[in-house]
Amino acid sequence: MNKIKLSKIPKTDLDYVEIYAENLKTNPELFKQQKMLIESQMKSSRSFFQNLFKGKDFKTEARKYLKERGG
Amino acid sequence: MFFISTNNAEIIILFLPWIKYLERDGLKRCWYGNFHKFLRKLYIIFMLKNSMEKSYGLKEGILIIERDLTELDYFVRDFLQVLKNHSDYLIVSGFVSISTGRTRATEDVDILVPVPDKEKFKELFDDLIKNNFWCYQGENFGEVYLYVEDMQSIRFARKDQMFPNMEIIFINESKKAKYYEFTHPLKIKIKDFEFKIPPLEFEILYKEIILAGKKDIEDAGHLRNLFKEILSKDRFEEYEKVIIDELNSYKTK
Repeated sequence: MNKIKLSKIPKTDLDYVEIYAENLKTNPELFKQQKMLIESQMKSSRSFFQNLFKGKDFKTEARKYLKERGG
Repeated sequence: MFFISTNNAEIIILFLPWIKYLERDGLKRCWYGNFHKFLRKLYIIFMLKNSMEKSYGLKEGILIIERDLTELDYFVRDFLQVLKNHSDYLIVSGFVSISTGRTRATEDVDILVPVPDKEKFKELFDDLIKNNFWCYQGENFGEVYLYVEDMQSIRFARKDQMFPNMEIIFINESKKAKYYEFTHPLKIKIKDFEFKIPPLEFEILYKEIILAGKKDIEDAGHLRNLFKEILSKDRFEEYEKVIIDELNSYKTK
């Protein structure tokens, strides 16, 4: 059901984006993959920072972290 | 039942030459003929069904996206529920592409907000804190307002989380292109979550001409291909002038 139909042979990243969008038009099932990717990223981010600042004040550590990285 | 369970109109097409052969052999009046009519009806039903299976539609000027909400949508929705009590807004940039299906990661959601006075900002700031958001720039509204009056962006994330964050970009009439898109919003709806984005043509051109990074060109490519059937050449021409003016104003600065 989630098979992608190729309208051209993709060579660049932009080609992949365009082919995906073409397929998405008539295949809303592809949204499920997108949801999985987004939620996986959010879960990883949450877990990473909670471990990084474990036992410390989150906001203080977060601001320090951002400052060190020019944020 | 076989055809219904496969949900594939192409299978019916495969049968049509066989039915034609039966017709030529004078069998049209027997049950095969009725079977042919039955298949034709099934074919039409499936074609109609397939044509309805689209990932988006336009209803009364609102762009409807046919998907379930993600955690990122819930984050934006919760933030907007607070913000809308205090200010108008426009969601721009990456989230426009992501909310319409672009499969990529993001750390922030950009939102245009008219620059508030100190009193209004205090109300908004306090309400966001009360609703479990925290501000990257500071603990109290006074220190954060220094950024606001200087028209610098500020960011809010959920309590005890770093990403995603809402990046508030303050605007006024002096920011011509941003003010233009802010005053020409398009409504988008995903399930019961409705919010405002720029016109698609404006968003595409802004990404292609002003931002123009790899990620932005790909976002624009996504929007161009997904919405090919509803994009307007006239609107492209109209918005291109606004964006080129903005680009020229950067060059003269």
